[in-house]
Amino acid sequence: MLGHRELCVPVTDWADFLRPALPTGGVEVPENGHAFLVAWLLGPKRVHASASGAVRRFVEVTTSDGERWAEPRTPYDQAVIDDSINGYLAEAGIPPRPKRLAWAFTFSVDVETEMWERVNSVLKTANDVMADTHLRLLDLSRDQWEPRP
Amino acid sequence: MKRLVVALVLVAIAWQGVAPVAAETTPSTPLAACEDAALAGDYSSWVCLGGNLTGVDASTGVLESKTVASSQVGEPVTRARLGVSSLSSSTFDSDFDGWCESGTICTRRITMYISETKGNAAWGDQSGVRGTFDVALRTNLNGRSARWTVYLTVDSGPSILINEQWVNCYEDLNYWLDNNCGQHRVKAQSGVTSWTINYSVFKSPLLYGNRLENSNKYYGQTSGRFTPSGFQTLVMSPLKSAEFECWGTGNCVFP
Repeated sequence: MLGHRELCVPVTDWADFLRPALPTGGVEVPENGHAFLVAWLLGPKRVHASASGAVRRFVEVTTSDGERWAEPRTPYDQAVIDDSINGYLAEAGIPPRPKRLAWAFTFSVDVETEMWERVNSVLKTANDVMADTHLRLLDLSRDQWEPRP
Repeated sequence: MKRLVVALVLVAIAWQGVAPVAAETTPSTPLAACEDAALAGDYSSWVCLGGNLTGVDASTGVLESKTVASSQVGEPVTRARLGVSSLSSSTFDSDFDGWCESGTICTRRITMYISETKGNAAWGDQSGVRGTFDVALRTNLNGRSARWTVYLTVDSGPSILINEQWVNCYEDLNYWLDNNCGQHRVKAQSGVTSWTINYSVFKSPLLYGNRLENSNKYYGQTSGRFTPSGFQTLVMSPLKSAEFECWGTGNCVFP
């Protein structure tokens, strides 16, 4: 496992991302470990977190009988999400994401789409799907994928 | 006239008491329909997962697989019957037995990046059902790759030796044979490839899927071979995850 201090990643803390409100026109950080690894690399200037931006979420259930419905996300569901994200971050030596916050990139969805294309282009060179490998590759090639100012 | 109507109603009520009720002869779940088909067929041993049957033909010894229950079989599964609302804040390990226990296959899309599919399975021989167990597959998407976790537990019957268990990744090619995008052997925490499950929930270590380069739809599927204590080795019907999409050069999502 690779610690972020071993790389050129600026040492930061998730607390630095906290703001009173989420940015206007920003786009939500996807709820997965890979997206939060990128958020960590982008830093608190490009990613904001706020306790005031949380929205009610739903889980979609389907059965082989053809039934389908939505139900509110439970504490169990949230624990599954938090564990998956924090487990991924831990593999890259990044501290766990604080709970019960909403997270958003400060840029628009168009910029975000372009960013993911560039991120995936950089990662295409690696067959390894481990989080620490992704952290290393993305940190080495930040100028290739980081959104333009 | 009123007397005639009353008499007809009484006859109808009395007739209901002796006539077979159609609902009682119709299997209530895909699993029940599969068990009925397994016992009606000539199988020396068989496994049902939801409505999917895998059995050994008693006369030829050939392994057969087929879907015996369509999506329209049985009564609708309600949320209460699934027991999903009873989920607590604890981990999947302890809640594994608390949802989707109604003999069907259920999928919960928790986010666009996490989906869990659970199936109820039964196994037996020509004399009937000898045991039941649950199998579940969690898929967690990160960028353009998936991570899988397999859960197994015995619901009834003897303990089960898992001879081998796999999660295979498939690229959905619609009308063609789906393209394999990775074969991942499930191991116990200790790293061994064969282990015994009982009434406590087995949770596998994470299985790391390959990077998925093609712009397409994909899914994971877990299957394997197992040997119930005191019984012969059986082949588990595959449990398929929900499909996820990895379009263009973007990230993979459950739609």
